[in-house]
Amino acid sequence: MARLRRSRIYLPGNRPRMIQKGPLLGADAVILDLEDSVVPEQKDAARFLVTNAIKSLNFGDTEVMVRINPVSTCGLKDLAVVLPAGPDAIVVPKSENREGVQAVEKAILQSNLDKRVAILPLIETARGILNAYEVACASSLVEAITFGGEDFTQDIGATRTREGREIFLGRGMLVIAARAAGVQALDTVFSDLNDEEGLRNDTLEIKRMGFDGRAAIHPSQIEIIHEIFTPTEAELQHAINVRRAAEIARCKGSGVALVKGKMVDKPIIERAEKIIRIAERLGLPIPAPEE
Amino acid sequence: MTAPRNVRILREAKAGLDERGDVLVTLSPAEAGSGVQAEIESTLYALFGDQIRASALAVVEEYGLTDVRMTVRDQGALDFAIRARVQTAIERALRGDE
Repeated sequence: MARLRRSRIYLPGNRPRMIQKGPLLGADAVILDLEDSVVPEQKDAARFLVTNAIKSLNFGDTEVMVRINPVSTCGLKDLAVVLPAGPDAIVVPKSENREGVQAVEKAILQSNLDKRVAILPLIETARGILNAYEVACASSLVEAITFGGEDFTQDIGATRTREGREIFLGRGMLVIAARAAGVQALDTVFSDLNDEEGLRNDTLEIKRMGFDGRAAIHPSQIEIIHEIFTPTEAELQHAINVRRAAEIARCKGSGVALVKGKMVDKPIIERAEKIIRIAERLGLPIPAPEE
Repeated sequence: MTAPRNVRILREAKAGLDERGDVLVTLSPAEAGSGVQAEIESTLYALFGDQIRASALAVVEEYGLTDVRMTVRDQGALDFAIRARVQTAIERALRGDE
């Protein structure tokens, strides 16, 4: 099973004070950013800072991602400096085709690290959305495709709103591409730091759409995101009941079971298994099945 | 791999931001035969001065620099930031800004 990526928080790659707080924030992943948060004349400094941070700081269970610059600009230069430090994943912005992902894959494989480095293409243009499946299938190192809502909105000429209707289709297409390719779907940031209710509603919405997690731009957003992407006691109890009913049905030679009067079949059983796997990964207490 | 030796910079270079948790490093060429001169300023000098100096000098040594003057103005940076800023200043002094 892929890593849990409910939340991933962006940290500017040239700000040591913010980077050193990364391991303490409680996010599933930190994204040490070399792209938008770093001005062109400080790209070199940020590369060395991020590299030394990965080597020196103990990030514990937090996944360490690095967002490089687009491959079409100085992304490969970023990789040459950062890869020897051994990040867990590379976020590739403006991903639009398989060639960009494969250039990153080549750099990773040539770095001869004794660990796997995942690739997370960031899809944030109209062309990227239309090619999302191709991007997701471009390398066996791709573990998730991620959506960049702000750039996407600008690219399609729409206006970003609190409700996010303008990105609904892009989000949906990204989830479908991710599922078809067998990788995770991760969503964009929620930009208004003062709108907790908006963040909660938007995150509930994307969870229902099938996303596995979303990005954060401030530590205060992590708790709300985790709350929504962590199975509730009721969800977990139901999942355990579904698993038990499915086992009994299977013993009787049937693929269909009943739980509290409702039919459960393969997709519902698979959804229940996913909830149980997330709960196990988080160390949540697993209840006994109800009679 | 053998570490480089007697590498000289030809121009001044700076790295780091003037803010808390960071360190501002300035490198400039020094007279031939003067070796490495390091000047450390830190609000926490009494506690960490020796450690900051050791970290900064370790990077200078990795690059094999000599005849260089280095000023390190620390504002409570951790070791990874000190090393990164010295490395950036050296790379800029050797290869020029981006």
